[in-house]
Amino acid sequence: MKAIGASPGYAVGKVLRLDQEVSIPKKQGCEPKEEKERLAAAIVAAGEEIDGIIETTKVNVGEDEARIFESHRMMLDDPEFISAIHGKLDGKEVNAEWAVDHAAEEMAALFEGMDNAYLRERAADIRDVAGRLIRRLLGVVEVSLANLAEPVILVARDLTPSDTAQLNKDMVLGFATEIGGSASHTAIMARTLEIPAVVGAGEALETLENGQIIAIDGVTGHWYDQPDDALQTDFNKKRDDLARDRESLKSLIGLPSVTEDGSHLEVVCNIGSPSDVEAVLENDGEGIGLFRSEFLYMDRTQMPSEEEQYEAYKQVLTDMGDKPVIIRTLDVGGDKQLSYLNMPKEENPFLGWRAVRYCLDTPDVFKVQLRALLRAGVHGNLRIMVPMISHLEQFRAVKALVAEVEADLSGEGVTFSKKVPLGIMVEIPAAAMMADLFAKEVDFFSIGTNDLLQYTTAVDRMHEKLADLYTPYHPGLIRLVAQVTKAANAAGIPVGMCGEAAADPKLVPVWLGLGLQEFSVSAPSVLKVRRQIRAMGMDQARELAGRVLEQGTVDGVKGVLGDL
Amino acid sequence: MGKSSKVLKVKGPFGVHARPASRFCMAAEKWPGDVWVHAGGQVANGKSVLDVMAVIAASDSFTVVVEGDDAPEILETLVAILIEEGCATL
Repeated sequence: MKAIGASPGYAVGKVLRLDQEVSIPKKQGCEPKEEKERLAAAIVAAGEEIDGIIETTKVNVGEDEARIFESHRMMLDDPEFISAIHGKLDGKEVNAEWAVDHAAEEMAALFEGMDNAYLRERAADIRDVAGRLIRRLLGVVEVSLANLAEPVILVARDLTPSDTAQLNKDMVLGFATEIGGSASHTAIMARTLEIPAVVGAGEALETLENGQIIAIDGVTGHWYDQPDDALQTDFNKKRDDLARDRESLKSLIGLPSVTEDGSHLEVVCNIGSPSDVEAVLENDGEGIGLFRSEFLYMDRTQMPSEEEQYEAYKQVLTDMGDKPVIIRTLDVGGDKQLSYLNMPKEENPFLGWRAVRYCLDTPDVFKVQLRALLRAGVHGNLRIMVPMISHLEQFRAVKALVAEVEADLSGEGVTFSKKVPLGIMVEIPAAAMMADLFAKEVDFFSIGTNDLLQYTTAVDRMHEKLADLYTPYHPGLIRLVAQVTKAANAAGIPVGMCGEAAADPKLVPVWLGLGLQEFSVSAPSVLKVRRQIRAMGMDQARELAGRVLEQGTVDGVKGVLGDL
Repeated sequence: MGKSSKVLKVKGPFGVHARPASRFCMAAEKWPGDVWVHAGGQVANGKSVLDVMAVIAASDSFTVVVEGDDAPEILETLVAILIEEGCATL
């Protein structure tokens, strides 16, 4: 059966269900005084439980993660929460369990209705706290994930932060959840803890019972109910291979990304917020190839100020030392909407008023970002990249705006970096077709394969029915990339790639052979790409790329790459 | 009985997060008098982390009000927490 692979790895083991439904009875005619006493005792007990979780989390995961539970502790003792529960006990003479459930749901609904995504997620914390309190009131014994007696695969509708924080890594072989995507809390925790996970498996999981054996493949998202011996042996072997592989990758930290015959390449990272820098440094990323600046603009009610942006850029530049950092200018509009910008809803957002198109039409907004960037530039090795460029005129207009901002800053006597390279993201076929002309004016290219593929093949990349057509093995995409790398190398400007395809093990040698210089990938992929580069010679890569370019079909390309 | 207040601006893209709000309420909790947070025409109990987060969420600025003797001192402590956590400025 197929779900979403959320954390790579393989596991075979016994099911432990976490979501034994707790049914909350409604009793009427209860004595409010007695119920309040039960409630008070349950709050004390639940508080002790949370204190225990805070301690284990500090040791097993980290101080920052433990703070989630410090806020759970505060919610548990929250005077408004408690008085809402008391209100129901006094007014309706119901049992404490029912009062807690209803008070928490009302509170959670309030948070869920908020504009701010961060606060919306707090609804899950409120339910987590209320659930704990209700289980205490009902006397339901909780499965302690910290003290598991035997190795298990956790199966649940979804895992709560309390579940993931206290689990014993040595006893939890994997997770399988009904809901969630690759960016859900469960998926992120699974990757942090390096535990294999499949998420979004749907109702198929409901039939599984405690103790039953399942196998999960966190790479492809497949999972198997009662796997036979052959499959179990295969999974166990894959699991051991992966563990060995993880160890061997660590030996590449500190080594250069250089081919067998001495060509130096750069393996850098894509990040979405300053806090991602930690993972970049841990995995020995050689710089940042794509820093999406949108995070600064999302989940808020007004534009971030110049100062706020400056601080965020400065932090990343300082943390990265003298390593290059490419920051992409605002890429909103289309599917990424900001409520405070009042952008109209569009029929065809991917072809609409977005990114540089929006920025050039609202120079007052764009200039604030450019000012913050140029000022932050003095703190490190900054490069600015403009997304969604299709016309040379657009690039020239951006360049003119940068010059204008520089003149303003000079006039005001503000310190800023005068030599920040200005490049473009090549993600629209028109720009790729004109790469030789752009190369005369821009300082660098970064090929965004995700959008370039979508626009080249006219396939919506989110469309379920078209998933087969959306493949980076399409000869048309590879030829466009070849055209861009050729133009960049002829003009002597750097050319990188920051889409998913940059880390595709089958395609890395092809990009190398086509003359790509920089691979911008997610932090966990850095060492894998480096290993591939170090095992290749340029002649071999060029020969392979040459053969790929002769192919007319996706299968032809896959055949050359040994992926059929 | 004394009463002190201070107006603060929300800083950072995400409003006042659970962690700073928790520290704020923990400190407010120790204070015998009332602590209120006014924002956007609503009033939050300053000892309730849920209330504080919810009320501040919809605003760019808010006012912390402390009632009781020595109110200015505790007000200073509370304001210092939010500034130190980087979620508000004077």
